[in-house]
Amino acid sequence: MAIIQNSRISKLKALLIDDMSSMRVNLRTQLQQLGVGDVAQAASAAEALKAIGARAATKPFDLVLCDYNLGGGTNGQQLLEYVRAKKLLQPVTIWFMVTAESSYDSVAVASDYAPDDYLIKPFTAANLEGRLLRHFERQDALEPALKRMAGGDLEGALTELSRIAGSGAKFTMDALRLKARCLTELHRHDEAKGVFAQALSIRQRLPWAELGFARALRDAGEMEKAHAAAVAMVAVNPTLVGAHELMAEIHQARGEDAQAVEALRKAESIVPSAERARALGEMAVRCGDLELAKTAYAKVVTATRASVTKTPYDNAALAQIYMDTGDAAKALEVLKPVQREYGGERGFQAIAAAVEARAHQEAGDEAAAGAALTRALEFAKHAEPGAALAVSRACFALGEDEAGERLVTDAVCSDHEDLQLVAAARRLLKDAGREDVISRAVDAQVQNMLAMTEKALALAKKAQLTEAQTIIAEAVAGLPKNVGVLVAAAQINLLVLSQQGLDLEVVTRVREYLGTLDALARGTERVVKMQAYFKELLRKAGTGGGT
Amino acid sequence: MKDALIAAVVHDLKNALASLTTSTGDIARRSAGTELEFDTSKLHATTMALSQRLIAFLTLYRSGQAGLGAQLRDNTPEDFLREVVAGLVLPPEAVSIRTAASEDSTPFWYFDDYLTRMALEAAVHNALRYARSEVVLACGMRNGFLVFSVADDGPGLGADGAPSTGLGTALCEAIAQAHTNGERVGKVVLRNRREGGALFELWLP
Repeated sequence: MAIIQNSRISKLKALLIDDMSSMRVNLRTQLQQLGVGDVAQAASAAEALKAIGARAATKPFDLVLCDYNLGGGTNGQQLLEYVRAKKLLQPVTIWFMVTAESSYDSVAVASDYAPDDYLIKPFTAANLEGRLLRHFERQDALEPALKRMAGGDLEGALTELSRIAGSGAKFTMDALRLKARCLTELHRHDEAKGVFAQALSIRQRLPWAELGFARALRDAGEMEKAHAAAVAMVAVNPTLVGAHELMAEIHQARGEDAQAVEALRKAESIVPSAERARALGEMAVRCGDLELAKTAYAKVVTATRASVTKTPYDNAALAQIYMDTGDAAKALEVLKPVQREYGGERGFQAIAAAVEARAHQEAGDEAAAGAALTRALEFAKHAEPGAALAVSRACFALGEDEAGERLVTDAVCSDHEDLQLVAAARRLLKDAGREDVISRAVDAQVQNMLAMTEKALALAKKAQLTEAQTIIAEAVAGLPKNVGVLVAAAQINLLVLSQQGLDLEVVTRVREYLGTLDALARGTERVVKMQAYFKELLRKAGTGGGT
Repeated sequence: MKDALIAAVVHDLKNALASLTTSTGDIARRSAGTELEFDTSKLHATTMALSQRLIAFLTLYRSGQAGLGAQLRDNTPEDFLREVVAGLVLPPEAVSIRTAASEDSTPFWYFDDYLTRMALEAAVHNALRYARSEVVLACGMRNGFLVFSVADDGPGLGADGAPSTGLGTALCEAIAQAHTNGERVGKVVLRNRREGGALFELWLP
């Protein structure tokens, strides 16, 4: 077995993750046979995260060999998803998943965060070398496109990818996959659909292409077809996590909460992760299935207790569920371990104080309840809508209806088109017997702001730009996430830029409006057009299109 | 003994053997060029062959339990074949192994490279038992299938001397059948070559 050491391989800085020391010794020997000298080891997911963090700034890893079964409640796929989602490793870092042959089928689930390759135990140094060389070849072939993608030049990347895919040679399928990704990012969903269809015409039933096609249908607004496609996929391959998640998203968008919960429950059972359990918990709360929500959030809190993914908002959510199911003691207990640690987290403190207020109220201690509510109201200033709603619930419980009403109104108006937020507010008001609030206060504010928007647009038409700017800014402040208001605001300010030249303050404002619009109405034709126009204005002025 | 217990024992043996194989590989590498070279490379080839037979058995056992699930992805057949040959661990006295130029190649084809490698390794080891001077591997497209072939220049089928358990053949059959594309299913073809010797073919849709 003569292995000629490849200098590209021997330079790799490697991390081995395996809970069995004998396996680590084995892997280390094999890497040494390939000339790899820089080999770090980790026996658990926690140790791996520590090593990745410690080396990130100085000598980041180029290669991770991670066993799928890590013991201790985290598997290799979960660790990979976490590391990739949090961008803890450079995108070019190679991740090979090591699996036992007996679990091979179940491990290779289609996920957005797939490893670069699988290595099936036992394998030889020569096998590992072959995999690495193959990876390098693919990386080199795709590099011109990948570089452009990393630099944000998606059009340029598309040209490169079309060249590779058009040749019909090796890596055609990789090129098609990346092409579809670029088109999706550019919101050219119909073209993306075409690329997925092309891939499926080369090879039927490719999971990534089928899932991509279904997602493109969803993004193009063809919900019925997207749903049918996802259903057909899980009928053939029940462990396709992505298809279950897509179904959940479609159900959620249609307001079919119970079906969304069911789909999320399946996804979570296939590849359990804190994120999936959290999504399930959120959805279950929305459906009023508090028992399921309790189980899901309890899982999240336990799973993330010693992890970097810990957030006090999971404890806050669980505490509110306990409170709503009549278990005040448990609610306070679940808040305790994080209350001190997250003292500066105002949103969380608002919720915690609101839960305390309700608990004291239930125990008949009105003085303590009032004090806690005062604290909650203080923390709730400028807090996220979720925290505001929690505090508002406490207000109603303590008979402070007026304060509760104001909090709900402001929270809803911060994004009155957010159906989930509005639904949460409605549930809360229904429980408090105050369903009239939404239609009265919220509708009035929305009407008022929309009227202001009309007025600003009319003024702009009459070239009274300064007045139009002032009024539209006020409307944006009142309805910060209304697409119509934001579009008008961007239009008016773009007009100002084109007529009066570049003013840094106006540029910043347009950038903010377009940024919010991109998050709210991605790919909408008018948004895309305004983005292009804005870029063009900046380019002409010679300031570049960088954001 | 229960099937599950047998499988568990074999699994355990397999892990131990894999560890041992890494060690024998290391020893073989370090004794290259010394007087121990012949013996250590034979030792390594033997442990490797045992390890592979055990994995073949486990894979076949699993295919009987739940069926083999092939993980299809695009591979370049010629590169793949080169990798398989480069990864073979053969005893020092083995006849030479080479790859022949492809008849009608394709830049990529969808198949499970792990399972396909296992099938080809089994076919090569079988061919080595009969080959007089060489074993030849090749790949090419035929009737819309990718066909991998392993040819030897031995006495051909039916002239059997050495006993065989049939493990290799059963494994290759299971692997071929795990490969489907629409209605089409993979298959194994065994026949004699006109010029003498046996030919093994793995057809992948």
